[in-house]
Amino acid sequence: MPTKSPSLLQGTLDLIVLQLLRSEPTNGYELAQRIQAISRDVLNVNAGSLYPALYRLEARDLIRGQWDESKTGRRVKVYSLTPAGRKQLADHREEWTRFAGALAAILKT
Amino acid sequence: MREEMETHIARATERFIARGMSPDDAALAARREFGNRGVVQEQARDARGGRWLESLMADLRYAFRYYARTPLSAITIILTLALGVGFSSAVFSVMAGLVRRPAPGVPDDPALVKIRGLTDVRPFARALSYPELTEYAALSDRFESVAAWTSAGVVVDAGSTESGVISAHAQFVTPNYFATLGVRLQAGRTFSQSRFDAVSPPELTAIVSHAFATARLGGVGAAIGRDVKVSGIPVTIIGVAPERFNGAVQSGWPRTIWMPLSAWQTVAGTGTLTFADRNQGLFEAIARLKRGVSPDEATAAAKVIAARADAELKAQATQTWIGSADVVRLRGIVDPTGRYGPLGPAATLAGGAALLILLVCTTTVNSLLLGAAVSRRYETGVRLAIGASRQRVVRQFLTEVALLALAGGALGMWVFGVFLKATELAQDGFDIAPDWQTTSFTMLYALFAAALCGLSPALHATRSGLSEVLKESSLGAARRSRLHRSFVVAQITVALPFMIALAAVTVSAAEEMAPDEKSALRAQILSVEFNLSAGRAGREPNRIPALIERLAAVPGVAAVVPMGGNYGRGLVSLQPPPDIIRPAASNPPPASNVFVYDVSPGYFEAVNAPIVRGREFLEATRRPRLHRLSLSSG
Repeated sequence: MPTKSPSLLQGTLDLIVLQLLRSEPTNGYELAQRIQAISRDVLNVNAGSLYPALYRLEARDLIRGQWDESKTGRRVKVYSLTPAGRKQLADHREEWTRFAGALAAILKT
Repeated sequence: MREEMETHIARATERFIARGMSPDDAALAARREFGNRGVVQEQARDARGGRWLESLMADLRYAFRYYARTPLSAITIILTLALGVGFSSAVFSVMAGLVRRPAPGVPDDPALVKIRGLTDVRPFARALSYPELTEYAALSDRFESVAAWTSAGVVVDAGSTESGVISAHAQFVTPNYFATLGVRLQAGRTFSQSRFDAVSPPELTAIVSHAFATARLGGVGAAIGRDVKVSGIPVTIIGVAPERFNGAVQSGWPRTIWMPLSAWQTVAGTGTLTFADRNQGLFEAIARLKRGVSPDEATAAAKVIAARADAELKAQATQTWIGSADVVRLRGIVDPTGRYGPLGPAATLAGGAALLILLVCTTTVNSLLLGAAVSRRYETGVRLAIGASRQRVVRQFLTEVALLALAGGALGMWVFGVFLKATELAQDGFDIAPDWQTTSFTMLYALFAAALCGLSPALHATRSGLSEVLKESSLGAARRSRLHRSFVVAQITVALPFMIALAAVTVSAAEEMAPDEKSALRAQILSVEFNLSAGRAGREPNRIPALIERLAAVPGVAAVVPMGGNYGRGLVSLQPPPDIIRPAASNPPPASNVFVYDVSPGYFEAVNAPIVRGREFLEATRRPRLHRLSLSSG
């Protein structure tokens, strides 16, 4: 079931985008499909959230967008992680792991 | 961005088609899934940053479209602002030129200073004597170099009918004058003599101004090596000064020629002047400070020298005032008296006038904009109703006014530039043409004026929503804003007294110019000026009486009254009669400043001004010492 809590996704969307782009550079549409697929429809990112996130990360120089030609001949903008983005991802993953662990411990009580 | 999002929708459409939807249904489903493309783009642009530039461009496009529909309103506002901002920019340029900039052609070098001779009596400046100059030049720990000059009127004869004979203002300078200023000649070379104290033998060479070389000598190249006569003395031109260079200090007199100081006595015919006399103050001086020395430090040393010179002159009982000196940066009109600060009363008055005119213009434009805002209230109400914030609409109004103000400012500055060129004001030794600094300041000033003019109408226009606008239209009234009322009050309270004062001055001037009983006499008086320091006349003073006799013999001439050329303010100390008993400890009467005119017997009768009491001068009083004074009434 797609998440109905926008605040959860909003706070973690940047982390999700950085993580997915680390494994494979891709465009915005593919990214949205991958998020939905990997999360098994739990996370459904609409364009109104995804593209602002992509442009925000690009403005901060954490990802880089380059126009390329797809296999079908269509022009697509492919995003990839920059070295600064890799570092940011590593920092955020560590923070998120600590946070998730603490939250899990609280929810178990 | 648009292409990227269209690709996203196209891919989603393909996905829906792959699931079995028809192409139309798939496209609809894809667009619905994507969301409002315009909103997504706005959100993406906000996230990317730099929206302000896009907003500004949108505002400018809107403003152009609006003023294209209402050109008369735009032109009126631009012309009004051109008057206010243009006049202000003219004042700023003139003040900047007179206060901040060095003379035309002189580098803006902080090391360049003027050594000023001062007195404690206003408004006199004190020219420096040559011995005092050499003492300043010897201050090698303060000054890298010291240069000096004295001025004289000369007659320059270039020897051809095209160039003619002209009366010119010459400066006789120390050989290091141009080097000290850091001024490179346009062509030729500088003087052969190089020492500061080279005063003999006379070097009869000259450096001419660029304007003189171009206008009278066939151009810069043709001037070099040309032989001319300066006050009858053959002189060779060896150099041409840079364009617009007119001497070290700003002045209203165009300079034509610079000659070495050693040529001064030969050319200017200075009679018995000597360089060794401390009593003869004829020179002005500039200097280049040593690195690390400030003008204040140089002033302290200069004051010591001036005090020494002053003490010597007091000991000789040859002066009654106290002499001093200081060192100031060579910028602007270096006030010789040292009494007025950089701004001075004239600058304050001019600045006040500029602000006043700007206030009047902004109030007028404010009223025009308020009218325009009222006529656009429906448009504004609709924009507010569909979601535009008040801040956004106010920004739109301010952008429109800023556009007009910048156009008005640019027009005003252009008019000022054309005026300068047409009147050649900037050629008369003043550097008052607008530069990038005054232009930038004017544009900022224009934007400030725009904010001043446009804020009130913008706030007024956005105060009402659409429903209030519709109600107001039925009442047919437009409320005035407090800010606008304040503008009107300020205009009345400030502009009205100004207009009254201006009217008083105009009436007074008109009365002065009105024909009266003396105007008929003025029409009969002919004033003839002879340059006695130039040519042979200066060296043969006995020719003057013969010249007077020839003038008197001209038919129609009733009287010829020679007057001396040295008239002006003179310091006169009025002493009480000896028969009045004064206490021993009483102070001497204060000195009074009066105008002193050097006239000869017959003057008062010739100008039909009878002496109220006493008598006219007699021939016997044609002596060097004047014992009696005639005082004018009033």
